[in-house]
Amino acid sequence: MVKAITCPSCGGPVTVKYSEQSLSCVCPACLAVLSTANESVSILVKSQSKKTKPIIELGKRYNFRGHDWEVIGFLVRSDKSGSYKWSEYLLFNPYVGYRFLVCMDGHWSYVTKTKSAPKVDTALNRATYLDKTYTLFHKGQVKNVFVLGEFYWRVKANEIVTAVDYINPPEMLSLEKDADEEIWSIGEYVHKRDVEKAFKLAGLMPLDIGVAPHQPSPHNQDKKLASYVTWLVALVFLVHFGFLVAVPKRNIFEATYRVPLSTSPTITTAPFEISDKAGYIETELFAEVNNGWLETTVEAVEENTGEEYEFDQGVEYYSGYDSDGSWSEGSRTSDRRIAKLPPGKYHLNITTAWSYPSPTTFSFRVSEGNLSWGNFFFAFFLLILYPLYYFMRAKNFEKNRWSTSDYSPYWSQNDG
Amino acid sequence: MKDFLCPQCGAGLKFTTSYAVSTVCEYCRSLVVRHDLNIELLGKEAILQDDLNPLQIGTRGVFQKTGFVIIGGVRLNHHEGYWQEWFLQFNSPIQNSRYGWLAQAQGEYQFLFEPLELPVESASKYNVGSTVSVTDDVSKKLGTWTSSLLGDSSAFKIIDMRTAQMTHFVGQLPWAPDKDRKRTIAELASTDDAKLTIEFGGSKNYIYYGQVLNFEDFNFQNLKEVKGW
Repeated sequence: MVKAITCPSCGGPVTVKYSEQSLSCVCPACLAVLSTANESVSILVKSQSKKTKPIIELGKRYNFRGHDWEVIGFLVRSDKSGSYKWSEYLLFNPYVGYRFLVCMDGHWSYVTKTKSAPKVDTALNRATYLDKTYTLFHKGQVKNVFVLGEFYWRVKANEIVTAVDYINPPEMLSLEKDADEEIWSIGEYVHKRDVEKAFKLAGLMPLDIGVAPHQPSPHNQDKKLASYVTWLVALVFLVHFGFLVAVPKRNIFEATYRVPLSTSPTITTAPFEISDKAGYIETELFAEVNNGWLETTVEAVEENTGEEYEFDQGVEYYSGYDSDGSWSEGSRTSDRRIAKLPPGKYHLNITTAWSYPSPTTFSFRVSEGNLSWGNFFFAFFLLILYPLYYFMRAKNFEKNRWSTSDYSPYWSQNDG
Repeated sequence: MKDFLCPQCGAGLKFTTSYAVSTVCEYCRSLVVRHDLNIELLGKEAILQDDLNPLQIGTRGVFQKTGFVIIGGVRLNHHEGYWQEWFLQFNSPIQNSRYGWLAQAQGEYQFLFEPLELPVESASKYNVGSTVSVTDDVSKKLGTWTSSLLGDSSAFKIIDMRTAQMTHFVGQLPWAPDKDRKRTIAELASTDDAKLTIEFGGSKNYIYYGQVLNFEDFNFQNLKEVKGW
């Protein structure tokens, strides 16, 4: 029921649109806050300075979260000192009731009164509401700096109330307490895009600054991927060690030969089998070289098909003594990884060359079922990078979130 | 059920449930109370201007899968406004409650069971912050509604107290309306899903228990259309 009253402060006309439920309203002309609960209108606050223009127009209706809401009230509120300010819009729908749309540092919340009082654990700085636990974020004092429109309660301007906020993103559980009552409300973080669209605020949106206390971590989307990748790392581990167990390394050929003294003679080895086992083939050459080298050219011949595979392998080793002491360079053994040879019966034709004085013997060994640790570590480190990156970023976000709180779990780390 | 005629205009009076004791004549708005066989005229009720309220006599709803219908209501005023309580007739008893209430304040809807009687104590003994002790019997009955209330004395801490006066009556009510009687209503801290209030009356004290729900949860039918919405 629309009620027309006369402002007792300036004598101007004031319209109370929802007089059945509005207990106070603001004179649009002189900005006096009036109590309209009783037949006689009284002045709650004579005048207001610090006039602020709401970015959402009062008296208009907007569809948000499935209901039509009329914006009927606007409050600018601040902390005790008045230096930190934010705005709250009172939304009304005669069927569904009241909600608040709160804008703090460009971050928006959709706020409802709770259906019962949450349980507070003062020892652990926590509050529980409907089986969800919220962590204490902020305790402070709040006052109204400027109000416009009409309200279902008697607006107490400049009166200070105690406010306590608990968070469990994307929700914030808030208590406002004064001598008479304790009012709990629950706010849900709303993406600014949704507010901009629903309340037609294109071009009017304030910039969002920092991280809001109950802002959901943008890394939540990455959390899934990070955990998948972590599982993948575990899988790589499992597969690798599974192979180690299932495919043990096995020597399939090993022999020691006297170094033939004629020029580039070729040694033909005894035949050996290469199976179709997983893993790669490794050849190992050992020669007792001293300040010299031994080079081999190896021809692996498949005995049935005559198919040939050729590779070089050599060792060199130098050592001596100078003013700095003894030194050495090179090695008497060398490993060579061969891409997997087709299974079959093979022999090797080894042609050698060497420096003088020649070593007396050299050994040649072929093994199969070798696993590449390099591949494993490469995959491991490449994969683990992402979860690590995610973890660092997610933690950083949480640190930013808590940077405005006196109850930050990161506090001791930052200052310690 | 015996038919009663309005002592003022002679029209038939509506008593749809045996729990209803008073009613407002639909034709001449006389407020009448029935005693076993006779009818007493208490006065005349003014029409309540309540354009914004979507609830009315005849509005049906659902709580815990049981249907109810609003058959009466009362408006209570306190120093900072008012609230509305609607008298509900159930299709069948809900958790041993034969009838219930729907309290409506500041856009909030609260379903209340048939209240339980408490020992008579003066409201002046209590203030915000004090804890109300309830008998084992009441505590047990409340426990069947929500087990979280069992042994949780903190749920019975008073968080709000106000004195209210009934100003308007509509339809049927389970007691004889009395506009002069003031009652003190204490809201208790309650627990997650329960809501508790104590009514300190003159001769009897009652504890109301129930739950706040969203408008949509009641699945209301036959609502009054709010003009412009």
